[in-house]
Amino acid sequence: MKTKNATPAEQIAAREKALAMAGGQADYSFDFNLSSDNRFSYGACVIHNGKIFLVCGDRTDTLDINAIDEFRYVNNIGCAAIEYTVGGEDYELCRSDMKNAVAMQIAVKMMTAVKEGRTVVNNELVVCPKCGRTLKPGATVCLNCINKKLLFMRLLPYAKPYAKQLTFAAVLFILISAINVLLPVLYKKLINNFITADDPNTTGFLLLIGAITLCGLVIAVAQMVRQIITAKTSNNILVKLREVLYAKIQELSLAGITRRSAGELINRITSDTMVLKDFLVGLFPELIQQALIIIGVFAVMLIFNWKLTLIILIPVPLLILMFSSIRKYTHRMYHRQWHTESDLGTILYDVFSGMRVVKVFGTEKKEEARFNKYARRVADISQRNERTWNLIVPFANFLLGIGEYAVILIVGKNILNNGGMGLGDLIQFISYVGIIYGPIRWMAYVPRRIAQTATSLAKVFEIIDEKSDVAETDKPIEKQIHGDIEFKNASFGYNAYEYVLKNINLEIKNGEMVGFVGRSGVGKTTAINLIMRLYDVSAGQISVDGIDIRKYSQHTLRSQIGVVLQETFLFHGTIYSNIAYAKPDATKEEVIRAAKLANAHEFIMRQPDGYNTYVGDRGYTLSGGERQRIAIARAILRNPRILILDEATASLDTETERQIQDAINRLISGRTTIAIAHRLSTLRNATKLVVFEKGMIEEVGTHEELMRSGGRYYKLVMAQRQMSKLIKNK
Amino acid sequence: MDNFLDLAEINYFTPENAKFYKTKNGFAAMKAFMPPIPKDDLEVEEQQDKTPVWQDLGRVYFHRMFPFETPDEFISVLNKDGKEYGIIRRISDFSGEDADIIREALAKKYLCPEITKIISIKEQLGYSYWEVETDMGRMSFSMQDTYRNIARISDTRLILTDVDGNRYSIKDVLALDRKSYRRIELYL
Repeated sequence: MKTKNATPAEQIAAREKALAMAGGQADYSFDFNLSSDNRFSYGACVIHNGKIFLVCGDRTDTLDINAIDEFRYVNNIGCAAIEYTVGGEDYELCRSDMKNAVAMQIAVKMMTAVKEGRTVVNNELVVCPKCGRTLKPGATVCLNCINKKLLFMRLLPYAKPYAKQLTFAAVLFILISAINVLLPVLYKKLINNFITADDPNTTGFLLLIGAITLCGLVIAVAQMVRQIITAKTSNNILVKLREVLYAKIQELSLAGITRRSAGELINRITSDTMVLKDFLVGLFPELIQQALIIIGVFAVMLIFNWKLTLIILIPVPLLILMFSSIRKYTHRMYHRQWHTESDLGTILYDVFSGMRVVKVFGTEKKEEARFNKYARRVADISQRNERTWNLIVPFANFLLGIGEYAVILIVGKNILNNGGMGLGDLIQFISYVGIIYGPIRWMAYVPRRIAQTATSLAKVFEIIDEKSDVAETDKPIEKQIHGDIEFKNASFGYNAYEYVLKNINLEIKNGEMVGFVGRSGVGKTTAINLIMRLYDVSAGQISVDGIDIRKYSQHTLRSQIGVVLQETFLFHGTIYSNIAYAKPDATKEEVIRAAKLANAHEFIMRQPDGYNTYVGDRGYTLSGGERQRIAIARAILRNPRILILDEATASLDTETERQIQDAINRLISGRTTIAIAHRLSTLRNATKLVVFEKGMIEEVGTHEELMRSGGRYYKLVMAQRQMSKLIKNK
Repeated sequence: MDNFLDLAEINYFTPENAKFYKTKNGFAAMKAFMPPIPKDDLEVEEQQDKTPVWQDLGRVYFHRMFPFETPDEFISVLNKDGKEYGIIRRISDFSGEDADIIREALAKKYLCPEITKIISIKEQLGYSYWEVETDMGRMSFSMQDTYRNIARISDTRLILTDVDGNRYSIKDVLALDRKSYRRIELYL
């Protein structure tokens, strides 16, 4: 393990050489491992005091950051590079495979910051302190090096409230184990004193039979109670864990959430916690139970006859080895089967969700063939697996049986030959052998299950431990806002090396209606997301009423912003509950007023169940315009100080758009409104238009001003007019 | 027009209308005989003069359109912002220095060692650790969610993506030696 992760000596030499060039000090440093023609090599780079010190193989280089115009991180396929520009000429600084990509992205950000005279605190690169591997952005634990024992210990606080029940369960565990150890002793007594004895005493016999029956009963009851307790407590622990996890995911910033797919997050809440539950309810208690029994039996056996005990133990490691190798083999078998089955499932999901496309293009036959091919494959593999399984299992059981009988034979012979021991002693011993040999097969797969649980546990705690990158300050401000928004030198990038917005300066006064204009992908929506604090600016600041938005409580800020997006999401529920979503304590009257203002009331009244009409999955029973108006009603209900409309009317027909525009015009008076629209005519009421291009503001002004200046806005308007003229002429 | 697909124009670069060269620092650049490139995409198209002229496009970027199927055919030639100048139908259409420049630029953009032998695969905690022999030397890497990060390009061709995003190719999995094949078989 150690040698695998060890850094090669050449790499360390390169690092040291670069560091020596910088005079032994570094503000930031990173490795790279490719030469300029993509061959593997060893290189290191140190940034210190406004200079870059580079070592690549035998070549060394020193560059002055201020003499360079621009730094760029270039993402290739399977490799990455840092390039820079001086006087319009491109140069390559270094190249690496993707292992150092994150470090290089941060380096570019740092060099740019140094160039612009900013200081950047390097807190983005997370390196596993143990193996030195750069962790992916967002990951907080190195799954490579995680301590499994510590991981399981972390479940303890969740178990604490159930200490009483668990202690009781522990007592039961010990009781069951003790009885299990005791039973063979009773058998021995039964046989030695009564069955093989010459004159058995009937009362004693009945007493003993009664004791054995009682033992059986106690075990049954104790096991039942134990199971109920462990199931109850572990389910409670699971629920708590899920609650904590869910709350944590909600608390994460949008960036933290979008970094993982929805499927992955759902998995963590459902499957990963399910694995934990299986462990807590099933494996863990069973493990303790078996361990206690084995220890007890072992102790008794040692006292009884230590030599024989050791003989019995000889085949145990062999058997464990045998079963774990069988396990490994069958695991591979079933792993394959599982994957092919899941492939089949994917195909089915694909075809059924795309049924319209399949029918429209008449490709049913082709899909049928594809399905058949995979179904055939699944059948083949599972057939083969069943066959192998049925060959292995009886054979393995036979082997296990032989081992067990061999031991009994040797032991039995010994006991009988040595004299002084009766048939009862033999029976007792045989029972103990059975108790020890019984769980071997089961134990072969315990390590695997534990490893699986540890992985799930690590994934769950990774989220619980994650710090939200849109953090709340210590004393968040909660107050009614007025609605003045200001961007001060605000920059933002979704990743470290590329800014989507650069140095935005913009002032929006309360009561203004501002239109954001520009092509798609120039940063308009990002600017809006920043105002809502779905993300935090990377540099500069955004303020509302002159106070940095990071000082507000997130809830206060967002509760005073109303948003209507192009894609309207309706939750499962009634129209009423969807409108009231924004303000759960709204009265019916308020909801109706909001619907009326949004021009939604009329169409709601056309539904047979009025406001109680159920809108299903994403509200597909409603048209796009209807859904849009519900979204507007939702935004109005909050009486927000700031209203944001992101392409709210883009996908609608002219008549519906006019209605919605009416609704919006009613809405914007006395509020700060920001609207994004591609159809420029929808922004004719705007008091100010802001034209974005490549992450920067290119023009600001009213419609008339911008038309007169003949810049980008003028061109956009002209292009759109020409379009509509073309359509008219046709 | 017979086929309305003809409405979409493809500008193929050939030795007749394209000449590649290297910038001072070794980046691929080109001169092309084609209609003038508008400086701003807002310029209304009709106003443009479409007569082709020889022009220096400066540094250009290559991107394979079918990287797995035909790595040496259908190569898009783009500007810095990802706007396409034209398409190279086959690298073999070009010869000498032109072809060399294209091949070199592609080799710098795409790094994907070819696995020739699998020395070991160890699985632990949902990660798999690989020790392999490649055409670029011996390498070790780790993969997460192994089954899903092995792309099956065809029945025999595989592309592996490791935790960092590096790629490794296996051109023909059946051509691997028996032991290597046994090791990877589980993930097929």
